Amino acid sequence: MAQNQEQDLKQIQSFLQSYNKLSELCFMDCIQDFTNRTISSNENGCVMNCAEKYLKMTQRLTLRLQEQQQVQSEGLISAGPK
Amino acid sequence: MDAKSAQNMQIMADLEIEMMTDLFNKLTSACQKKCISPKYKEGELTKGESVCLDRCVAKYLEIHERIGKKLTAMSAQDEQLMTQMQSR
Repeated sequence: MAQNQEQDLKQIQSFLQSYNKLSELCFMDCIQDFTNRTISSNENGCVMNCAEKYLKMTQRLTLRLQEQQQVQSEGLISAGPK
Repeated sequence: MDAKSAQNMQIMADLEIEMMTDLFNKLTSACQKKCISPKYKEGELTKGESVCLDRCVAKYLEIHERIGKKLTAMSAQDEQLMTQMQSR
């Protein structure tokens, strides 16, 4: 029970961390103009693309990492019973 | 004894999860910096970016492994030196 709660908290924590990181990244890459306090449509488009791209990148990286680990564990299994 | 080893297993498992999370975060930020151009004209990954990301993961993990081996070798050498010094 306590274990589950701890896991949930960790998940929320990591979600919030990536949320903050994404905001920072897209803000730094897309927002250059401080002569006006409204967000221009260019800036908005850039930020939306940035977020979308980041998510797709994370998905791809997760997939590749999993594949690599699978290869590694299979290698261990086949190397084991020699 | 049994309870203690179970506890140790739990600690090891937690550590491994933490390690993997950390590795993933570092890999993500490294490959993002290396591969994604900061002009967000579209939300899709371009072909070049995708290929770059794939290679980036492979290279990062290989470097990770090599550094691990190097570290083990270095610490083994260190230990050997220490025992030599002590036996003198």
